[in-house]
Amino acid sequence: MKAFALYLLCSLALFGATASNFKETRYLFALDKNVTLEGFITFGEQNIIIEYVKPESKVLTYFEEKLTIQDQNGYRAVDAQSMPSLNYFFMIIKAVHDENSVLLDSFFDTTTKGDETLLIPKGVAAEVLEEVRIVRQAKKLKSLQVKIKNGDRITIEILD
Amino acid sequence: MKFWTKTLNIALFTFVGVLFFFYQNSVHVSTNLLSFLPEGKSKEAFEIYSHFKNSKEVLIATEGFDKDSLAKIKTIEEKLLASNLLKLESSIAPNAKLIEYTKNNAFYLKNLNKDDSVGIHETLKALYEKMTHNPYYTTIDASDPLGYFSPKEQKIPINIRDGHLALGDFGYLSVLSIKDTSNTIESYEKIYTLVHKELASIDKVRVFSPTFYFVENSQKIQDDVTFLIVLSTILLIVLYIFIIKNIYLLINTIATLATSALLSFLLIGMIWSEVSVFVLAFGNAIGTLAIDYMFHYYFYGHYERKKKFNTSVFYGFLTTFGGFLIFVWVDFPLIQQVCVFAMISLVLSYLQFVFLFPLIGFKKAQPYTKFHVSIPLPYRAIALLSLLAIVLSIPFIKLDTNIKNLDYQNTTLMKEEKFFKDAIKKEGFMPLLIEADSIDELIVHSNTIQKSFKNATAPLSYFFDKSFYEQRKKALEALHLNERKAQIEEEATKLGFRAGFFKNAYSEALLYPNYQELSLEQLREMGFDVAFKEGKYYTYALVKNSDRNVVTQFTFASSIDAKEMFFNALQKIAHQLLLGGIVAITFIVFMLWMVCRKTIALSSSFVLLPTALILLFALMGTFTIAHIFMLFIMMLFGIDYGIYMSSEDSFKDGTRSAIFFSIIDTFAGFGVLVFSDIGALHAMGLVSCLATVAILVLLMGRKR
Repeated sequence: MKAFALYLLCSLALFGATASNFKETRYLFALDKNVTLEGFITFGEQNIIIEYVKPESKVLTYFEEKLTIQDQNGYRAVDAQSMPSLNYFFMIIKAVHDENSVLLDSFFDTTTKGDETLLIPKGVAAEVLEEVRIVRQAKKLKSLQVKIKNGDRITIEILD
Repeated sequence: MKFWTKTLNIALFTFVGVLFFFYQNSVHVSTNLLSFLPEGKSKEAFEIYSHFKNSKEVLIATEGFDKDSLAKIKTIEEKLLASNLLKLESSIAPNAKLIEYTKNNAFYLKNLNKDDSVGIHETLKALYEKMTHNPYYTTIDASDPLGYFSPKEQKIPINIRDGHLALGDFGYLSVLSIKDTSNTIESYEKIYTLVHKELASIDKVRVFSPTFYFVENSQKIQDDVTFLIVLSTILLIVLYIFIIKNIYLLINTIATLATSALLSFLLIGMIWSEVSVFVLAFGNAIGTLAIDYMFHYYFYGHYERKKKFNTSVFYGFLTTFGGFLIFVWVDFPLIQQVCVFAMISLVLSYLQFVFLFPLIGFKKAQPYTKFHVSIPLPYRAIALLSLLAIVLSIPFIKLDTNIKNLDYQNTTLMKEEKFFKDAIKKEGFMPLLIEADSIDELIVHSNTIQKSFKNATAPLSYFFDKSFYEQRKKALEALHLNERKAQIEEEATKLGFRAGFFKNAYSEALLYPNYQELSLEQLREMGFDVAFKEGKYYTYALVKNSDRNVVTQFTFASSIDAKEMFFNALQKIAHQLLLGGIVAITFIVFMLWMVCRKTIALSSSFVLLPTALILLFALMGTFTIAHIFMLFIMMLFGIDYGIYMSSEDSFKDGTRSAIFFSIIDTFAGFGVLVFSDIGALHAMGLVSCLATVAILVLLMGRKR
């Protein structure tokens, strides 16, 4: 019921905000393999909604550090706090979109050159992440690359 | 010779004043009511717990989960940490020592799931599927590919938003601990001033620390006591000017009362390392009792010409002194301090008023008014009805054992405390002090508490003891994980995992680490609250208030609860109080019989009517130990008046006026306590007001 209410809330948010077409590439070190996903990403005031269309249709909603997944099996919630890498991933996306420099500065040393910003993790973030690279175009997020300490890489490219 | 006699009192006052000036700082006045409870296990537990950082955290929350709110909380943290007085406890990352310990002992710190029903191939395949098909990025634990280990459940979950601790839905939260472990009011004041100074210009922020009670209550209590002393002193001076009309006598009287109070203060400061501020308020009022002796001697004309020794006044003094002497044996430092202060003060004042003042000599002036009212009163009926009311009301009186009702009611801070506790979900939890002979045993006890109570949080249960280590080691050996490593590698490669990815899975170092007995320093470095005192180790746990009764079955745990501590203290002294009460009542009866045998109905009514009124009043509201104590004091006051009124001279103008003024000044001394915001003083003031009114009514009467 709670998940459904959340979904309704997110659906309403989708109408109010603009969705961006994106492509996500995950390099999984353990498998030495790339996994590619495509879909739309929408930034709400309190949430992030990712609607994957390829390879499968799934909707992810990140709201208050909780992740809700909607797929052919229905809804399920995942506590992102129990997965540090995932939690950082969403935290970074949200902070970059919101231009929340306080949040970024508390976990990273930031260097900006032109449109590219390099984030070097510090403190607890350095236990999980290696580096984060953000590229903006006309102040809008163009791409984001996250290097994880376990050898994995996540790259997000905004296509429009 | 005459000059020296006349100035002796002032010289004495000057001498004591100088002593006070030089030695006043050596007497430590405390506003903390808990310091004056009887010694015992509960008080000791309270004392040990008060050194734990958990007992004196500073909680700060900024409203909202936006950029501004996050910036605010970060700035606050930065500024407060720069002072070097506070330490951040809400960092979302555990400290390096704990991370290292956790990594090395991961297989012993997590829950072990021994379910082997799913084969290696299936388990690894499921991992592969998760990584490639989960819509969210999924990582796997390469050291435990078969998923034998799962993290322990957090009973009070940590809420994190945007990489910062969050307080429910309110906003971001910072938890800071005080670096200084001295637990002094000065240390708390420094933190209080620092925090409030930094937060002064920031809006939408809430703050609370249990240490703030000490600072704010201390200031409020000091202000309250100062107000009471000033109010009482002004009232009394005005009254004395009005009654005595002899400035020279007034100056000498004030000098005598001040000498007695200051000397008593210094003397009790020599007996106790801490003197309660309540003693000062009560001590000031005691002076009003002592001045009765002066009134009688003055209005009898003892200071004008030599007269025979006034036995009524002596018996009055003796009964009051005797009453305090009876209660001084009650093993309750606050009561003892009040009694000793009163006894010293009364003796000094009595000696000066009775033996020194007649030597100085004061001319009697007619007061502005005389007490003429005299209406016939049925004293016998009053005494009998009062006795009946006392007997009938006693079984229905309920003693209020909540110490908070004796202290200052800081409602603003109490509201903040509730707000934070509700949001952190700590409301309704009670701390327990866990005691053990070794750290290993402390960990065993913490685990016992954690397992015994569904909602308990025992921080040290994070660790394992030697016996658990042996058991887990055996359980791991039984799984033969070493032998399965090759199969894991083979299956994983077949499924598409990188070759050698699981080479470190179930390593010897993780499966069989050396058992490391933790030291006090190691635990502290890892951020845990542990203490060592007189050969015993201590830590704490939090359990639900509703589990209070179950806690008693664990001999190694004591609850940290001011209410319970006070209740235990009261239970401990209950028989002493009862015995003191019986002795006091016997003493009163004895004095009535010895001194007022002929006027027994009249004299006893001065004890019975106030007692009956107070007990009847108690049926309507709370009745604390402060009420009981003051009730006994008022019974002793009552008998003074009973003795004075039993005298054949009592209906003479001067004597009647002296008695009347005595009760008015008792009202000015003790009655003003009713204006206090401190529960104990308010209770004393209320009881004295009721008693004073009753005695005043009786004073208006005459035998029919």
